[in-house]
Amino acid sequence: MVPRASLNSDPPIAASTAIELRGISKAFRIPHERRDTVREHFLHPAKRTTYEANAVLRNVSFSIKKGERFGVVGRNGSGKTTLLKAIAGIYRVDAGQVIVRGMLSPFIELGVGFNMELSARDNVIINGTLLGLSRRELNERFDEIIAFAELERFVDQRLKNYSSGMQVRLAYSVAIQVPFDILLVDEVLAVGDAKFQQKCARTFDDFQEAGKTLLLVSHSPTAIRDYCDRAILLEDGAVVSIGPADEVVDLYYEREGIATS
Amino acid sequence: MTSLVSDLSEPIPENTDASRVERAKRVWRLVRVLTGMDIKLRYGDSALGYIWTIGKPMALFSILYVVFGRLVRFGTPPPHYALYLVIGVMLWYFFADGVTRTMGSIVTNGSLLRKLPFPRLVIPLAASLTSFITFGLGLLAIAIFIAWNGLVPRLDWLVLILEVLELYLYILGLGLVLAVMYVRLRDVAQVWELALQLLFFLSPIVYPFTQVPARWRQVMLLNPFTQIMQDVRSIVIYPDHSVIAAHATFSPLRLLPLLVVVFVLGLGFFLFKREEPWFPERV
Repeated sequence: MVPRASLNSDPPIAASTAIELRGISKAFRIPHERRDTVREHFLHPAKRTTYEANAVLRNVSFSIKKGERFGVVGRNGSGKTTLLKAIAGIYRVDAGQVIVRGMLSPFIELGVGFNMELSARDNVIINGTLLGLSRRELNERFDEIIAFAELERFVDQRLKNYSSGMQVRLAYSVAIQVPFDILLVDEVLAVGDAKFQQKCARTFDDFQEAGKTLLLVSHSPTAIRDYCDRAILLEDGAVVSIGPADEVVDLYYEREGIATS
Repeated sequence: MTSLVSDLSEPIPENTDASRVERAKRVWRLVRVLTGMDIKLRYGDSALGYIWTIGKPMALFSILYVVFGRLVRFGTPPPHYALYLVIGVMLWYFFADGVTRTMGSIVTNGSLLRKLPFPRLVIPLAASLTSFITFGLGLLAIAIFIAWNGLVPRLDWLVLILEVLELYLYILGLGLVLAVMYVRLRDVAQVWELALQLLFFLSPIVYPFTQVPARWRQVMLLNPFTQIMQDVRSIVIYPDHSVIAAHATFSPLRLLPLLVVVFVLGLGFFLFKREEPWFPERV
């Protein structure tokens, strides 16, 4: 456990910092042999050490300034989504500190956790409320959320009748209508159609003008190069490189053995 | 500017620096919205909707009444046996449905937990409240039986509110304990299903409590459900407390089931607080 007092002895955070990670690590415990039955637990209640730690983040440190557009690249399974979840406070890290200054709006794993049996209207109400909108704010912004997602005609249809692209549009619409200082975006550009991608890109510009911070995760290097100022490259849960987005992307291409266009 | 620092000693970080009161308000709002949606999900798809709320327990009641009131008899049925039975069945439905829903709520809402940070407690709270509201709607059935039996409401029926509240807290506590276990161990659902069947017969729902040997009655009353059900019957049907164990009146022994409720609820909250940071990676 990190004692609370250590916060004071650590270097202070600059006022211009939005997110600071100090040596965070995260491992998922994978049971060696699945022991999910009662019998096993009763027979060996004390035998709890047969777990294998699968390290997903290894000593990751970086800091993001307010108003910055920051990208995270890396292959599938390199720890990008885990990193976002650690920042959003969904996962508890095993070591290190996550410092977030400002209100977060997370858009993780392509969505905000919709219920397929409920209509778009109900899902917007649930998720907007969970993300911190009051009833009044929700009423005020509801039309805008639906309009941005271009789903006016389908607002009372159940989500199970939506295409995956439509669901992503709705989820992103909700995420950006929540009052936030920092937006965490996981792969939104990979799913929407060309028009929606363009629209998202425009929101990124708006957020930057408004001084908001954007953390964009993508396995598509072009997105990172196009929309981010700085980026990190994750490999196997560790930071391989941090710097200007185009340089990091070039390095990513190089290490993956892909010729740059 | 809000600021959020999460290290290992922090609970789930909250996306606000609001005061305790504001946080409580937010939790309450989330619970209300989630409960409303739960109810919608429960009845949205069915043609008969609300009818099922009363219909299902009444079907069980009818079967039990025919079997144990007419065909097979445990000695002399207590006076107002139909009302006796309907109270037992309605409370049982509340108990069984409430604990089962609360137990499954964390796993059922896994996709929300994995994607959004919010106070996790709102999920089991909403699940248990959904059952509470369903039970409240079903009270109409009991009211009809009371009128039928020509019983006139009395002032001491206000105690019933406390009894039902106690039952709700018992359900919530048990539900939280099982919800935490269920996240780790999926067998819990099967075990609970069996335990429910056993508990149904270990509680004097269909048979008169007086048929049970006196010393076993003391043991059975340790289950808060049994105590609460007998209290309710005693207050509603037998104002002189003649039929049910003397227990239903004030006695130090009445405190025991109450202590069980407090213990189970405390354990539930304790386990939930301890385990909630790991829910997203385990569900």
